[in-house]
Amino acid sequence: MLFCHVLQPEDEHPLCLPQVLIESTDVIQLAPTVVSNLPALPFMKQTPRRLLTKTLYKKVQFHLFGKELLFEEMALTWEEWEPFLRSRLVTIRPGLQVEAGRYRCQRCHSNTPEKFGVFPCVRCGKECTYCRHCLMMGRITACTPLFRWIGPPPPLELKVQSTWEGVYSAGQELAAAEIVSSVQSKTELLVWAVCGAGKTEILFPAIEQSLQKGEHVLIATPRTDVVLELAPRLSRSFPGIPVTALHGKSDDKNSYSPFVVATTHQTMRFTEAFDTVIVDEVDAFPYTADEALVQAVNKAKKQDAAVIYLTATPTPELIKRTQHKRLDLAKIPRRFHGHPLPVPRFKWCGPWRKRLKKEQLPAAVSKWCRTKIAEQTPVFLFVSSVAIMEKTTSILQKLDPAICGVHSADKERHEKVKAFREGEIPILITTTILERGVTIPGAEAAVFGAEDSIFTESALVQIAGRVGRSHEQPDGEVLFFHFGKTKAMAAAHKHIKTMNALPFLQKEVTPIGKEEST
Amino acid sequence: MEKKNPLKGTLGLEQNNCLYCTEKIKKQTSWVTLFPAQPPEYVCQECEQLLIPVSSGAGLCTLCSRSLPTAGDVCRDCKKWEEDPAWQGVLTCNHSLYVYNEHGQEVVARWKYRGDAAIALMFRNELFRFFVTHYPDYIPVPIPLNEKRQYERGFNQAELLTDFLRPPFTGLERLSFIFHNLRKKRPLFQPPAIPILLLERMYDNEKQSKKSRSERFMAKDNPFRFIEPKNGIPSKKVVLLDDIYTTGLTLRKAAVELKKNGIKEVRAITVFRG
Ligand SMILES: [Zn+2]
Ligand SMILES: [Zn+2]
Ligand SMILES: [Zn+2]
Ligand SMILES: [Zn+2]
Repeated sequence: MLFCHVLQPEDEHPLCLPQVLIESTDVIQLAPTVVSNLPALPFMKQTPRRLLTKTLYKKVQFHLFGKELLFEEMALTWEEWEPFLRSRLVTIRPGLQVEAGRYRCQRCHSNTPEKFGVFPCVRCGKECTYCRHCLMMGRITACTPLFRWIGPPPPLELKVQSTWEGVYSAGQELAAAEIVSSVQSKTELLVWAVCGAGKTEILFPAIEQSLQKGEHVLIATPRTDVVLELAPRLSRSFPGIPVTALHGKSDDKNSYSPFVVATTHQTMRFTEAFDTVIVDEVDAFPYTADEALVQAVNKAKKQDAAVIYLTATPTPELIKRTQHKRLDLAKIPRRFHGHPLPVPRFKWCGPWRKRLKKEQLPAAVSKWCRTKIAEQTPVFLFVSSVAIMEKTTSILQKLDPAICGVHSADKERHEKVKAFREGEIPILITTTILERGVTIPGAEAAVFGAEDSIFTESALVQIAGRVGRSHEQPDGEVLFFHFGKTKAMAAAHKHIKTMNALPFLQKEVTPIGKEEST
Repeated sequence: MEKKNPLKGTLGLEQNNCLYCTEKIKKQTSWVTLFPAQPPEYVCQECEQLLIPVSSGAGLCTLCSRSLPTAGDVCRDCKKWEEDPAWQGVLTCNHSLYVYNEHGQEVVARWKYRGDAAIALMFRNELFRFFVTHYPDYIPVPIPLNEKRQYERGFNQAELLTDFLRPPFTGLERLSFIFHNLRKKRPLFQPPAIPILLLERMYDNEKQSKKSRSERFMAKDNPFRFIEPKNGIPSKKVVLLDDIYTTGLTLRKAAVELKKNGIKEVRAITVFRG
């Protein structure tokens, strides 16, 4: 299929139309070509002047609003598209656009050569480039158009009322107010809340207000686990509104709701859709590691939107932005139960890699594990790699065969975490995959080989944050077994001490400019 | 469209990232890396090891590459084909590169159904090696798709494979056909036969999967049509290329059509043996 820019009779601005829809009254401005050869057109909103059936209008409006989809994803014929295109309710643009001599995928924003493939394309009859990065969402080639709704947003008649009836801690209260004002004024805000501060609840007033105004709200997180945990909680708290949960394996990716919880990856589906965007665990992999994902989240929000970043361990870049007054900051240094964060202890464990080779664990580690098994305290034991995890697991299983190891590609990961939660596994040996998101009441944590560079300051703070999460057991042990103390370990220790030293009831929400550097 | 060896501009070449898992390929230092004309590496070692060559088992059916407990045997299905006068000798044999296991299915799903055309490169080196070793004088012919299917997918996977057997060749590929010419006492610099699209495919009357196996064995309605090449046929021997050998019916139907039109010998190379 080739596309051209045409002028309709009595129209001042060109339209992008497929060759098959061109009528004799149209004036062709740019001759038929592969869609990616056409320059971008500005959006011109106009009133419909073609007749449309109401059901089809609604279908397309609900399906396409805030997204950019492929021809195949909409299952409409070109003849059905024609009135939408000619009356500028829908516009098409190339899926791959040439920027500075290289292609950029308009869905996932990839622009590095290794993300693209080339093949002799039957559709356009040329050597055609396609994006391999977002292939799983349907292939975008240089000859693929993207359809986008630019008409009015779907009307909503929903009663939005939060049914959450918990009580805020002082820190939560102030942060919640700060989020509300940020959402109202459409500004950016970083909420720095320690692990276990209760950061989901503090979003509720702002989400409620935003939805009540008929706005669109997105909660994006790098982690599928978080989407799975969050979506049912939000559904319970906002019974009046359907919550769309999007992750790699969700079945219905096209239902329309103004309230979406999605992995940062899935936000690629959206274009200028949301008035309020909340990025949870903003410093977690892969969001921080993938510039394309940051851009995808950026693309999903409207130009004028509030963006709230949530994390316990902001990246130095984020902190820098707050120091340069380019980003507001709200800080919750205390957990919801009011107790301080457990402070990690360091324990030297000698040349442990050599011992592992001999199928042995350092005495300090195995002694600690034995004590914890005897005490019946569930323990996370963090290690730096899958190989070390497997080795350590096989050695520790001699103490108790129920001891288990887990890593990111483990197909039984969710089952193992569930068994650990239910007390069936005394010690769970894990790679950094479980450093966030998983909350086990009464659990303690240790890092074996904490000097490995994979254990950054934020990883270590997150690991310490696994401990003392419940009202009943607000404290517990955090141990870093190491063969040489690192800067990251010291920084994590200082980070936690600093947070604990911050006044509990005094100004925990620090307006811009008064924030001391940390 | 001008047909050429689709080598340039494709992922994995300049960047040296694995075609399958996209991780950077760790270069191994061995005598091969000192060799300037080596073919590019498309996949990392881990991904390479996931593809299991058919020859890794105890034995292979000499006609269709199915794994068998003992070497040098012919499998039950092939015996049936060869006992049936309608199909006897139609397809001399099929050679598959890899076992169609769970990983193979994953690869094919991404290649064909997701449309990740570049996946074909994963098979390029093995395919070329097998072709020049065994069939350098056979015309490579891809199993065609019907027009609708081909438009949906944007490409024909068998054609992508066949295109790898077109010039230009890499230095090592050139050396390897010269070596085989020497071995077989052919003229030293004679290149292997150039692929020709000798077949087109009409719409199949019924979806194959809806028929039972025995019905399929009987089916004589042939979706393939011979295309007479303008410059005549340079050889009476053809090697068909396709992605998977499942029952062998498709390849045999194509072979029947070729033989009706003057081809004397038809063999097949498929990537996977289902
Ligand atoms: Zn893409
Ligand atoms: Zn194309
Ligand atoms: Zn790989
Ligand atoms: Zn056989």
